[in-house]
Amino acid sequence: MKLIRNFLDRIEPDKKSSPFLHTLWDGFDTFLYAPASVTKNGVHIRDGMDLKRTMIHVVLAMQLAFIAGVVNIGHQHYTAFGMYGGAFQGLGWKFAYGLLQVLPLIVVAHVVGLGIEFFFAAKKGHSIEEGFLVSAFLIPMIMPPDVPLWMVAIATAFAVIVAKEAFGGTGMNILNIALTARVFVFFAYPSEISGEICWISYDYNIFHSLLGIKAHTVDYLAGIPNGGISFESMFDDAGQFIANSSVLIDGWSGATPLGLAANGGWSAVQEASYTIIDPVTNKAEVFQQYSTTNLVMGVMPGSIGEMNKLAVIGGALILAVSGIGSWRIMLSMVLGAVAVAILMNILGETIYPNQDHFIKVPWYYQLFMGSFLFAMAFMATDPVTASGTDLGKLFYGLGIGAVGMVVRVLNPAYPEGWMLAILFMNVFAPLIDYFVLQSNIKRREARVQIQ
Amino acid sequence: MKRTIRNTLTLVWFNLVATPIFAADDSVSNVIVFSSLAFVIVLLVFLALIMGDQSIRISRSTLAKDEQDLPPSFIPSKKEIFGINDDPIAGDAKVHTLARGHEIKLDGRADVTLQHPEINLVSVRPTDYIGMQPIPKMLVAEGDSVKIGQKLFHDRKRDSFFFTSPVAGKVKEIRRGAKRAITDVIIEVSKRNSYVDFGSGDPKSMDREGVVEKLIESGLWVNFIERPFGIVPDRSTQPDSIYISTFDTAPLAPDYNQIIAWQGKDGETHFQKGLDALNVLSPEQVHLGLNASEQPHAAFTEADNATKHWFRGIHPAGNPGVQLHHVRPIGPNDKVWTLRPDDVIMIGRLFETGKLQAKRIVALTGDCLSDKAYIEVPSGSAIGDIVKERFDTFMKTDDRDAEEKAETSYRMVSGNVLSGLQIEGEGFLRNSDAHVTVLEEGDKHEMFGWLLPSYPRPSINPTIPWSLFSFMTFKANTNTHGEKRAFVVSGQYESVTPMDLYPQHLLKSILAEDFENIEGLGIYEVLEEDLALCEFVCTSKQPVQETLRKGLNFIMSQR
Repeated sequence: MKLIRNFLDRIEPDKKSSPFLHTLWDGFDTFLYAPASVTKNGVHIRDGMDLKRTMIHVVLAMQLAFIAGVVNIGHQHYTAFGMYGGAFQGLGWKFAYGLLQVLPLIVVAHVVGLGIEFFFAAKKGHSIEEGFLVSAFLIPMIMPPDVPLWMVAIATAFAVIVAKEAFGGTGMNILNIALTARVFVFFAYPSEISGEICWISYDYNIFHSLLGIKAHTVDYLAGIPNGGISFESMFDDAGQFIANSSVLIDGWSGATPLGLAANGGWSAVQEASYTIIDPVTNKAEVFQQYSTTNLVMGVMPGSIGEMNKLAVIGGALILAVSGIGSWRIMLSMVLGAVAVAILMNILGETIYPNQDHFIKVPWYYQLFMGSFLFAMAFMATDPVTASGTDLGKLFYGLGIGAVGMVVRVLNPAYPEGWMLAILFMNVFAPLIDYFVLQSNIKRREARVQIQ
Repeated sequence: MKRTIRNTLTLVWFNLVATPIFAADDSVSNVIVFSSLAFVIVLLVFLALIMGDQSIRISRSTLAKDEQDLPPSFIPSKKEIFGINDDPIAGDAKVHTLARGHEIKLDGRADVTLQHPEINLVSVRPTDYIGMQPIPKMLVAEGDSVKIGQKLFHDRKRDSFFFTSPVAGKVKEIRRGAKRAITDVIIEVSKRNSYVDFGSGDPKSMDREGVVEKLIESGLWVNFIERPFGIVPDRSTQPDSIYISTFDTAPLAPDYNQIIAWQGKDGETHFQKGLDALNVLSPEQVHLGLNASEQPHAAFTEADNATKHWFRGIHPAGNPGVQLHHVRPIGPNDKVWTLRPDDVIMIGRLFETGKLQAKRIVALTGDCLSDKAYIEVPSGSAIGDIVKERFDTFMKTDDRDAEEKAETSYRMVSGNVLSGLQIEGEGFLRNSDAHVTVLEEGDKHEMFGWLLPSYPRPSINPTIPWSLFSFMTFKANTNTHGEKRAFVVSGQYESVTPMDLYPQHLLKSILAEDFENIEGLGIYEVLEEDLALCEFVCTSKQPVQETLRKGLNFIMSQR
C-alpha cells in the first residue's frame, strides 16, 4: 500500500509547467486515494459522503437495469432468428452477444466525454469532476442498441461541450447532459434513429466475429445447433444475411409496443405475435410478443437500459432510500403521468367510442411501456437540473409526468415523450424555484411584521 | 408526521404500481384492486380529517383569547381524554418540536467530574470579537501587574468595547500578528488574587444607565452577541429582547444543568440576579430557551423575570438562532442580544459581590484524551499543556503500532467541532467558550476511501453503512473526506435546518451578491453556528460558514 502511495507522490508532475499531466495525475490519484486534506476553521469534521461516492451510487443503482438490458438485447437478437425463444434458453449466448454490443458504446462514451472533461479541467486548472461518471453511463443506456459508434461519439461530445462545459461544468448545467446527447441524435439523425429497424440489434460487430458468436448463429441456422467454432468461421463473412430478411421468423416485427399502440391502439400490442419452429422437432410454437409479463420483465425491443421494469424500480428504490435521488420527484412524476393518462382514457372513450386508439391504452399499461420508469428513476432526479427546493421538486415531477404523457399520446410523429418533457421542465425548474423562494420571502416578511 | 405521510404515500404508490402486474384476468386481481382502493379511501378520509383539524387550529389562533369558543381540535388530546399533562417535562407549556437536524454522535463526552487544574497563562484576544478594530488602544504595557477586572485595552472606535483581565498577575506579552494587529494580550497568573471593586448592588433598584455602566466597566459587556450579524452591541443600543438558550445540543457540548449544579445555591441565585440585571436592560423581554427532552435545572425552570420557551429536538435545536426563529423572528431593524447561561451567572456574581469572577467551567472533550472532564479555569486560559499531557497518556494506552502513533497529531478546538476555533501552541481558549474539543488530525491518504470507507465516520447518508446504526458513536478526525466541488446535491441543507429557510439558495445569492435575495431569504435570522451543520453534511464540501460571514459583512457594509 505504502509503495503505491510513495510512487504516486514521486511522479506528481508540476502543476504550472504541465497542467494536462497534472490533471491526469490528480484524477488518477484521487481515484486511488481519498485525499489527505484536512478541514480549516469552520467545521472541523466533515461528513463521509462526497461527490464521487454520490455519483458512483447512481451508477451502481443502474447496474441491475444494465444487466437486464444486456440480456434483453441478446434475447431480441436471437428470437428474431428463431433461436432460443424461451426467456432462459441460451442465456449465456444472449448475455455475451448483448455485452459485446453494449460495451463498445460505453467505452466510446467514456473515452470521448472524459477526454473533453480532462481538457477543460486542465484548462481551468481545477480537478476532474466526477459528474460525468453518471452521464457517460446514462448515454449508452438510452441509445438504441444498434446505434453506430461514431454517432455516440459525436452526441457525447456535443452534450459535454454545449450542455455542460459551456455553462461552467458539473453543477452549473441547465439541461440534463445525457438527454442532451440523446436529443442530439434524435434531431440530427432522424432517419437512423426512428422506425422499426433500430430497436433491435441484428448485426454482428468485430468482437462478435472474433469470439465466434456469429459463427454460432450461422451454424445454428444451417441446422447444426451445437456446431463447434472453427478458426475459419471467426473470419467468415456471413454477416450479410440480415439483408436477406427470409432469415427472420414468421410474424416478427421490430416494432416497439409504443409504436404498435400509436398505430393500432392497445389491441395491436396484444395481438402482436411470432412463430418459432424448433429446428430439431420441427414443431411450430406461437408466442405473444407483448404479454404483461414481457412488458414488466422488459422482453421487448427498445433502448438498452430502460426495458426491465423490475430492475429499474429496484434502482429507483436504491436512489430513493439512499437519498441520492429525490423521492419527491419520482412520486410526483408518477402522479402527474397517471393523472394525465386517466384523463386521456376518459377523453378517449368520448372521442373514439368504437375505435381502438393510442389514447385509450389503459393508464397502468402506459407506465410499463417505453422508458417512463427509467426516466423517472435516473433522468428526472438529476439534482443539478431539477428544482432545488423540496416543494419545487413536487411541481417539477408533476410537470414532467403530465407533459411527457401528453407528448407521448398526442404527438403524431413519435410515440414517446419523456426526453422532451424532462428537457422542457429542466428549463422551467429555475422558474419553479423562483416562485417557491418568493413565497418563502413573503412568509418571512409577514412573520417579521407580526412581531 | 411528515415521515408517516411519506411512508404511507410510498405504500400507496407501490400498490398502484403493483396492481396492474396482477391485473391480468384472474379474480385475485380484483381483490387487490378493491383493497387498495379501500386503503386509499381510508387514507383520504384521514387526510381530510387532519386538514380540517389544522384549519380549525389556525382560525382559532387568530381569535382573541376570550373569544376562542371553537373547539380546540377535532381529535381530543391525551390531556382531554385522560386528564393528564401530555408532556412529562414541560407540563402545560407549549413545546416547539423541531423535527429536522442531525445529531453527530462523537466519542469522548466529558465525564461528570470537576477538576481544578493550575493555569499559568491567560490570554485576552481582540480577534475573538467581530467588529473590532485590528489595533485596540492599550491601557497596560508589558510587565505591568494587573488585578482581576482591571482594564487591559479598548476598541478605538467604540467605547463599549472594554476588555478586562480575568486573572490577577503580570502582563507577560502583547503578541502581534500580521500588520501589527494585536492578537493576544498574555497575562501570567499570580498566586494571590486581588480584585477591582465594582461595588455590589441589587440590579432591580438600579436604572438602565447604571447597569450598562457596570457591565461595560467590568468587561462583561463584550459577551453580548447582537443579532443580526453577531457583533458586540453598542452602548446606546436598546435591545428588543435578550435571549438565553439554557442548553447546547452541539456534539459533545457541555451540560449547563451540571455546570450550574456544581455552583450550588450560589449558582442559582447568581443566575437569577443576572436575569434581573438583563431585565433592566430589556424590560419584560428576557427569554429563556429550555430543553424539553431532558429535565432542566431548577434554576432555569423556576427563573423569574423571564419568558420561557420549550424546545424538543436534536442539534441545532439548542442554538439561540434556531429558537429565536420559532419564537421571535429577527427582521432587518431588530436588535436581539443573546448570552450563554454561564455569562448570565457571571453577570449575577458581579452584581452580588461587586467583583469580576471570570471563571468558567469548561468541558474538556474528545476521543483522544485519557481523562475527559469538566475543568474550572479562568476564561481565556492556556490549556495546551493539559491537553498534551492527556493526549500523550492516551496514546500510551492506544493499541496502534509505533510508526502510526508517531504520525498521529491532534487538533485543539476551542468550542465545538462545528463552529469552534482551532487553537495552537499554548492553546488559549476563546474568552466566551466553555468547551474544548480535541480531535485527531485526518491528514492521511485513504485507499479508495470514497468507495470503500475503511473506518467508521459520521454521515447523514445511508450509503455510509455506519450511519444506519443509532447506537454507533464515532472517533471523528479532521479529514475532509473528499474535495471541494460546485453545489450539486439539493435538499441536504434543508434537511438539517429546522427553520423555514433555504440555506443553499441563501448561499448562492451571497455568492452572487444579490442584495435583495440575501435579505429576503433570511440572512438576519442566522449566524455561522446555525448553518454549521449544513457545512458538515455538504457533499460538495462548501465553506458554508465562511460564505455566510462574507454575506453578513456584505450586508453590514451596505447599511
